[in-house]
Amino acid sequence: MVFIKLKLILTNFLAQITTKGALRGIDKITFQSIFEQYYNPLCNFALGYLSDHSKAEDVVQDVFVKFWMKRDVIEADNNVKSYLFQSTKNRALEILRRNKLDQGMKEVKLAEANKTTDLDQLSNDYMLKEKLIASVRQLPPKCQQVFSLAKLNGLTYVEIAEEMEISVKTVENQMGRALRLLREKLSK
Amino acid sequence: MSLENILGRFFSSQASKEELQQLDDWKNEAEDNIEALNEMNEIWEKSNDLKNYEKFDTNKAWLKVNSAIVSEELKLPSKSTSSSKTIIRRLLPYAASIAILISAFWAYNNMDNTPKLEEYSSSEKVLELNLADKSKIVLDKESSLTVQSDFKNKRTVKANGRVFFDVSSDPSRPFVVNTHHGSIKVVGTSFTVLTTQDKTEVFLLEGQINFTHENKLISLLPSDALVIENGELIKYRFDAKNINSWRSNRLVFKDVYVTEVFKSLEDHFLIDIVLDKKNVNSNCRISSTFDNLSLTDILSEIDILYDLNFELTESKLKIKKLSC
Repeated sequence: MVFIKLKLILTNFLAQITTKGALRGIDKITFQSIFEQYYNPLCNFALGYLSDHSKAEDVVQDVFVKFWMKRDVIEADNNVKSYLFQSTKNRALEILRRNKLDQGMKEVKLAEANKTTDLDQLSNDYMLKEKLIASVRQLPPKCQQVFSLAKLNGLTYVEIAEEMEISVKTVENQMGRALRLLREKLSK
Repeated sequence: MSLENILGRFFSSQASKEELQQLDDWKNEAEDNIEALNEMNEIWEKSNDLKNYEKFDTNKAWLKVNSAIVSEELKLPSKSTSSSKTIIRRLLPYAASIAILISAFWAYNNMDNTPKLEEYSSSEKVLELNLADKSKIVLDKESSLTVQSDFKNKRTVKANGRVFFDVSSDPSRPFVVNTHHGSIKVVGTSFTVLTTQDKTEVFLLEGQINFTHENKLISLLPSDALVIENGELIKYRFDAKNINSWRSNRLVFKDVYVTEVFKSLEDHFLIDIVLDKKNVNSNCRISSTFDNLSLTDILSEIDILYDLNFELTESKLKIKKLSC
């Protein structure tokens, strides 16, 4: 453990100083902000193919390392979003093929992936979900709880009222409020 | 009844006639209200999909990716031109040796007095190693190398999977590679070994090696290859062009027959490729460079060049049709 910690400290230290060095293409700060923006939606996207959290994360992390190594080669006008989603899909399918999971399940997944789904649409969908969930987290506490119970846990208004010991009217009110606030946040 | 209550009831389809009327009135108050209602409807619908949307630890992942990037950069020759080399850049290799020292110290501390053999293994990525005697080793994905001697008098290692060796010359300390089938004795040379329970293959690029298998000694010269499978040993000459493609991840074809291309792909991706002889035109030729591409990417490029029909499963690729 000590070694791992030491190594981590060392690499982070090195990472910080290389950031300040002259790097062509995008810089580390930009790269990090791209990472923060796309990591979670990409993991969810990869999870759709792999149904395994750590494998999904490995795939996306690999994609980002490659992206950084190739940053000088990737053309400036190349769409970052489609590059990241396409690479994630390719890598996930490669892993899926090598995977020793249930053959029937695998074939279903591969067939699904081979269906000409519009990747552009799909990636927009994941980015919207990410934005939506981030906005939900910014709602006022009560409002957030009502919205989450209804939409994420699938409870009815009556069930939420019981769970939170409030009236159904309040639930309805908070729900309407949540929708208005979310709409304001997302249309910005 | 407040508008928010009505909205809450409306979206869960519980609004009464009067409430719907109230909502209609509100909609007609301003143009923006119609748009707002549509957008809220979209949010309502979309958030149904959030049930399975998970939260991954982005911060933790960033630390991992960042350290991977840094160590990748340490491995690569510096991209910056020599004149713009900063002090930091010059210091980086030293930092790397510090990391290695720490890890060596760590390994030493863990020995508990019983000599523990060093073992290197790769998982998802190709791993490059430099041994104590300056021999260079490259492990393909999911391969391993065990160091079986202290390297003082002799150098003995055990290979598993696909391993490339560039052995530093030292006649006083022979270098021995044990495989699943027999062993290879070398002085200084470079070659690739592919060894699994079922099969062992050796491709010699430079120098000379002596292969010992069941008391038989076979000498290999450059471009000699040897394969042992089902107890049978075959020696043949190989085409060295793409033999190291798995290391560089680069396959180069200059006007070669498709059959040869598929043979290279077979070796590169370690997959069985079956051609439907009736529907594959073996007179088709390909000129192309595949740089860092996955098998599916390569197949779709071939598909652009020629009409290709294939079926890909975990360990087998069936080429059903190819015409040019």
